[in-house]
Amino acid sequence: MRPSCSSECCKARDQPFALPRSLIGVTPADDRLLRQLRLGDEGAFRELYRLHTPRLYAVTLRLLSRSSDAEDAVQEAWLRAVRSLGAFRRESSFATWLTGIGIRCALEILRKRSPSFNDPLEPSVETVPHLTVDLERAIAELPDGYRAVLVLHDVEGHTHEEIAALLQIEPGTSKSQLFHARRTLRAYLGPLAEGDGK
Amino acid sequence: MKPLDELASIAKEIAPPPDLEHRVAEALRGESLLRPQAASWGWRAAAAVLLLTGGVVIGRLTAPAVSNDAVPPPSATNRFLLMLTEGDTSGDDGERAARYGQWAVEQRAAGRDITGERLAPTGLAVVRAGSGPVLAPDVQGYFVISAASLEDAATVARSSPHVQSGGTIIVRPIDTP
Repeated sequence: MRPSCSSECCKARDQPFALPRSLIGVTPADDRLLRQLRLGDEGAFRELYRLHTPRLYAVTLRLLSRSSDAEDAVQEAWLRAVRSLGAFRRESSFATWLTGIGIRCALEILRKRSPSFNDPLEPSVETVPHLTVDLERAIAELPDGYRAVLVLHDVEGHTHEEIAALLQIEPGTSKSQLFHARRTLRAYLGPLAEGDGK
Repeated sequence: MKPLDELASIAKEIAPPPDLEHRVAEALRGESLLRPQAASWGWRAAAAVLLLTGGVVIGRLTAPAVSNDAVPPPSATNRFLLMLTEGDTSGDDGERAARYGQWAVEQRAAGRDITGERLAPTGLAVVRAGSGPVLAPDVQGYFVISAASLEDAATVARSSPHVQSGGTIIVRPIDTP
């Protein structure tokens, strides 16, 4: 078993934050399984795990770009979610709530890995190698700060205000990072991204 | 600068490594957040099937006595794959294990060859090079049985506790030369 993350900053911020409204709503299946899980039912946990972990893993893997780190984030997210099921207020779907916890766990790992990842002065597009690779690999190749903003905004649908709260940066910095992230991504993709807009 | 169009269609789900579920469950048990799970129907059913295919007389002990003379043994070359999907996993796992195992015993007692196993819940569908991983279709387990015909195999599938409890079984003949 991998050791779980015990960062104090993360413990204090396990509350859900707003996500796209399309994700809101607790399904009857989730509701039944969550009631069973609160009683410690392992079968219910495994059903919920199989329902929701593929999405959780996708988000954490894209944020961290390393499978071993993504696995740690998934494990820690589930631990925190099950510990704090009583705090789940059903204002969002369980998937949304769990994904929010997973994003925070991933960001903690990212900060430990590269403490300066929030720094807006990332390498310029001219300093990175020009690669022609598929989209997933191009995202993984982005500097950590660029990748976090791009994944949270363009893939997960968060607003700059939400990203600013998550990353503890100014909304303007989030916008700037996103601009640079998209530009770098286009540079990485090279001819694949041509004609995709400005 | 607008986002890349390709980002709109990026996969929202990626199958995690198969062993991660076990690790997470173990971590939760380590904090006493989960009660140990009852034995799954998978290994019980598999154990029953293994015993059966090993020639052990468990069938005679637990299944109704059926004379092999009364039910002509199906042709050994007519084998069928029964893929179990959309099964009801609610309720007691141990009780479900017993029903699946008993059904397998009964099939054996009726003169059919039968083997099968439960499949782990995670998996990947392997697609053409260059595409990202995608989730495998949900197949919860399988049986391979002998039967006289496709219709006969479908009748067997219909009698299974999986279908009786609302699940679906895909029946496919195994193409034996």
